[in-house]
Amino acid sequence: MKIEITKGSSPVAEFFSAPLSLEGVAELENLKFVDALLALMKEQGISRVELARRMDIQPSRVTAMLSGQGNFTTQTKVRAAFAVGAKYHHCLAPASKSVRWHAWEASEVHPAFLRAESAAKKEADVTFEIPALSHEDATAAA
Amino acid sequence: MIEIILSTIHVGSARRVVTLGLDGKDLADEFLSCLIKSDPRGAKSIKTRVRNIAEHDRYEHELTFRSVGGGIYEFKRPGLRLYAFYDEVPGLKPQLIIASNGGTKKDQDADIARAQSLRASYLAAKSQPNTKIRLIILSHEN
Repeated sequence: MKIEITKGSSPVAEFFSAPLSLEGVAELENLKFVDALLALMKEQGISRVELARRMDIQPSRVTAMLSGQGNFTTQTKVRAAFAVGAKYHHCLAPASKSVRWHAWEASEVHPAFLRAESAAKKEADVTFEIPALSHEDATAAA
Repeated sequence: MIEIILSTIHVGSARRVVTLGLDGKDLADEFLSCLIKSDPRGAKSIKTRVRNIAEHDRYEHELTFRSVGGGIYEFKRPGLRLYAFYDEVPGLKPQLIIASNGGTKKDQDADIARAQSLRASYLAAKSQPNTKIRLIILSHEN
């Protein structure tokens, strides 16, 4: 098998490689949300009907939401997250910066590696008092 | 000599997405060319799904990219389907998602059978020692 690589362009390639429109970016974010939601549903064995029941909406609306179509509101996302025992997070950062999300159980990580906790300790208003050596201790040390 | 033409439409961090040209025909390119003109909104939606899935090494989402049997997956948007399969070509990174053909929900069964047949023809051609694969990369790729 011989592989030859050439550069080329076509209307389809130009369309697909062009940056996403604002609507496209919003749909992509919806798809990422739906991916995470489906993963949690699968992990917990929650069906679409059960999710609809927990969110108190029609199953057809759940199907529409899971297809990534439409522009569902923050309230819908929060309700969906709550229905699978999760919490909805969002983040706004300058476009030039990369953002990385990481979820962990605090109990599984040594406190030294918990950045937030370390920072809190560093900034805590704590003073240490070192008692002066008593006469007996000073004598023993000598 | 058999020639397979793989035309890149998007390069994600995990997968390159190409359309499959066999026997001088590229059904996925034909389908997407028509779609961009006749249903720009639907085309944009398929583009968003392609972008999302190209970021994953292996991805399955029951409502937007699901297995339909015989190694075929469908990019799914209400009313529209783009059929594809995974493949790997030695020495080529990132590996491939090959779009074979597309259609509407109405013609789903016939389109899936066509996609399965195209995949089988591609794999058979690829296994021949005298086959040439021409990979067309995007004009701005290094």
